[in-house]
This record gives sequence, C-alpha cells and structure tokens, in this order.
Amino acid sequence: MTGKRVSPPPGRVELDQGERLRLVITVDHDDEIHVHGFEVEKKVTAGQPVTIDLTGAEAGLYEVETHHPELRLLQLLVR
Amino acid sequence: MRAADTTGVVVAHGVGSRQDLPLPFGLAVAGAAIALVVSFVALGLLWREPRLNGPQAGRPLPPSVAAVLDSRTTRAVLAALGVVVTAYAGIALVLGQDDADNPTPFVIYVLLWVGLVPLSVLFGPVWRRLNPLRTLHAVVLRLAGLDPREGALPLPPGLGYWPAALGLLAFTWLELVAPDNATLPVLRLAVLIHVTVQLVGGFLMGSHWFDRCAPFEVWSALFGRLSALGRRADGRLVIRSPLAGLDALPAAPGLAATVAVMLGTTAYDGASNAPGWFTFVQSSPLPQTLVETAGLVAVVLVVGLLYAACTRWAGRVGGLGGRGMPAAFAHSLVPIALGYVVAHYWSLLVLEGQNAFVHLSDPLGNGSDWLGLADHRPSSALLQPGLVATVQVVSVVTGHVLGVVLAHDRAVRLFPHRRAVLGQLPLLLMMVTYTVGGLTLLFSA
Repeated sequence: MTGKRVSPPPGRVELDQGERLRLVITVDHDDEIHVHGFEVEKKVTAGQPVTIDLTGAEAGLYEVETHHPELRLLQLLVR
Repeated sequence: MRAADTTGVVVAHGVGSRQDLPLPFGLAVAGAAIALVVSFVALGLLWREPRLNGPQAGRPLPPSVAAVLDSRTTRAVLAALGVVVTAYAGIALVLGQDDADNPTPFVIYVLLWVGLVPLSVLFGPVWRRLNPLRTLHAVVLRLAGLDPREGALPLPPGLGYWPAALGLLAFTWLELVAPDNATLPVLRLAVLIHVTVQLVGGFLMGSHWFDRCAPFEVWSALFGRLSALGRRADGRLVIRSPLAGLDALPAAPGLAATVAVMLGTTAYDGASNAPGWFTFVQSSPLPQTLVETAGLVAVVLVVGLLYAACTRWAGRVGGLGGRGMPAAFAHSLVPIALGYVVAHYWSLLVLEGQNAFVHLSDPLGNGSDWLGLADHRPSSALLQPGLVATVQVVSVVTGHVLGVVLAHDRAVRLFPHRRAVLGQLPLLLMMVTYTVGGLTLLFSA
C-alpha cells in the first residue's frame, strides 16, 4: 500500500471453511490492519511487511482494512 | 458501519463486521425469471375490474378485542414502554463508554431501524404508539391544558411526506456514509439533531407532524400497511390483506419520494459493498465522504426519476396524462422496498440484533450484566448461507409480485378499460428493472 493506492487493487479472496490463508501486507506508513469478523488487529510499521495468518471459519464476507486512513484492502469470502 | 479511532486507541468492529455471501448466480437468475414471467402472466390473467377496495376492506375485530386494543390503558402502556425502553437505551448513549461494546449503534442501526420493520409488518404502525417524542409532546401539551393535535401553525398542505423523505435520507446517510458513525460523539449529535427537529416540528405544527413528517413513524407506518391488523376508513380495527392495507394508503405529496428513498438507500447499501465501487471511492482525489454522499444521492435519484418517468409514461399511455401518477402508484413500491430491506438486512438483524441485547446488558461498559445476557453467544442458526440466499430471493420476488398486483389493480381502477393493459407496460418495465437490479446487486455486491 502506497498512500491511498492499494496494490493489487481490492478484490475478493475466496476461502473454504478450515482453509488457511497468509496475508503479507506492506504499508508506506504506520497503521493498523484490521480483519473484520476474524477480530484480528495488527500494528504495521512503515515499510515493514506484516504477516497475518487466517483460517476460514463462519461463512460470510469480511473486510480487511487499514485505519489511518480508512481503506479497504480486500474482502475475504468464506464459503 | 465503520468503527473509528477517536482517542488513539483502536476501536475495532462496529456493527456488521460480517456480511452475506453473494447470491448464487442460479438463484439470482431463477428469481429474475420468476419475476419476469409473473409480471406478464399477471398482466394477461389478472382481473379486469378493480378488486381491491382498501379503505373499506377488512373483517372487523370482535368489539371486545378492538376496545382493548384501542383503550386508553393500552395506549398509555405502549407509550410508557416506548419511554422506558428509550430511557434505558439513553443510559448508554449519555453515560456509556465510547468503545465497540457500547450498545448505542446496535440499538439505533439494528433494533430501531431494522427491528421496526418486522414489528410493523406484523402489528401495523407500532412506532406511532411507541414514539417517545410523540408522547413527550402530548404530555407537555396536556399538562398545559392544550390539544396536542393543534399547533401554532397549520401543516402546509404541500408538505406531505417530504420531511420524512429528507429525514430518512439523512438517517441512511448517517448509517452508510457518515465518518465515525458508530462512535458516541457522532451518535449523540445525530440524536440531538433528530430530537430537536421532531420536537420543533411537533410543537409548531401539532401532533399531525409525527404522522407524515417523522422519519421513523413513516418508516413504520408504510411497512405497517402490510400488516393484517389495520384500521378501516370508518375507524374500525379490522383484519385485512396486505394488499388492502396498501391500497388504502392515501396518495400525498412526497410519498413517492419517500418510497424512492427507502428503495434507493437500500440499493446503495448493497452497491457500496462491491470492490469496484469502494476502489473507485478510495482512489478518488475527492474526499471519500463526498464521493459516497454523491453515490447515495445518485442512487436515490436514479430510482426516483425512473419511478417518476415510468408512472407518468403509464398515465399518458393509459389516457390520463402524467400528472398525479407518481403519487397514485407509490403504494405499489412499498412491498418492493420491503423485499429489498429483508434481503439486505435479514442477517444483520439476526446476528447484530442478538449482539445488541448482549451489549445492552452492560450499558455502562463496567462489566455489569443487568439483563443476564452477558454470556449469550449469538446463534448463527438463521445465518446458514443457503437459508440466507433463499430468504433474499423469496423476499425480493414476493415484493415484486405484490407490487405488480397492486399496480395492476390501481391501473384498472384509474385507466379506461381498453387502455388499462397497455398503460401497465411502463410500470412492469420499471418493477422488473428494480427487481432484476436488486437481484444483480445481491449477486455481484
């Protein structure tokens, strides 16, 4: 993530229940990454990649976002 | 709803951190096909003479039951219930902690906004009886020895539902667009503005203000038209069909706009969830709130203008001209709006409605458990993807069918015989557009 630009552009990642997903996110400023529904919240330091491991649980559509500024990075689609 | 960060401490998860899966393609296509077929079959097969006689329809309740329901005691109990529940919810609004466990956003966005819908569909315009602002207004005027129905100014006849249309648009803006809309400072300000506007309106123009100008009363009253329990033109409480209840809805200025707001804002809620839309919003050089506000207003305008154009066109084809047509058919949009609302908010009400009560058990956020619900784990039994998808398609298609039938009956009542079928084509075109559009949003966003 550079400024307000998210690369790759926001899309949906499909995940089966029980399937595991590793997100590696690099942001050009200090921020927090929040994975809705999974209740994961991680601080991220400018330029330092942060790794988030997730396992698909309840079916639904969940957002992964930053807080400063509030940007949506992607959506997780758990089937 | 987005949670926000006010104090440097991250306030996680607002209301609705889980959303529904997209509607499976097959179901969406099946729903659209049923809607299309039903529309045109209905046009060919349905009655040629008007059948619905809403204002006079219905079977009166036994006098004893009607007397109890209409008694001063029942009214007083319901009004008191509204005041007590509001006061309880007010504890968290005024004194609670500004964190993710504060029940206020759940109460406002889930219990009040969405919860009123099933209550109204079941029992009629319940918010009219519960509305604490109506009660406050009435109590003050009675204490002063005045008639609550009379205000300092008469309600301007052209005002109609317009204040409610604006109020509903403002509320949905708060719910869907406003930054930090799950935080206490924002919610306190919103409640303060709402209370001020409603009380000024009530005291200036009398209690009739609440009938058509108070957004939540109108929201409840319009969906309440589908209730089996209704009031006939002669004032008697009756059991009647949802079609009769809606047919009895009097045309009034701003009614069509109000229904367009109800439909359009729900559609925007669906559309704003699509990655394409939010990527556009966040990569725009303009402030995000501005782009989202423009998007919300644009969807409402598109829905409303399509409605106005198609009803006027129908009126011209039907030989009556376009004037007055949007108001004459507005009632037929209410079930379509209900279908949208059920499809979009079913799972929100089921899941976050439970969370609302859990959080309400500890309004001050100090670990207390006043309602004994703190350990309740929200059940997701009603959130199975197959069930949710079925509820979505069934509600959208049912709303469409009811809308088509209502519009058909109104058309054969208004239009001269030989033009009545042709005159309905623009209306069908519009309803099919709304329904296919709604299903497309559920499928793709």
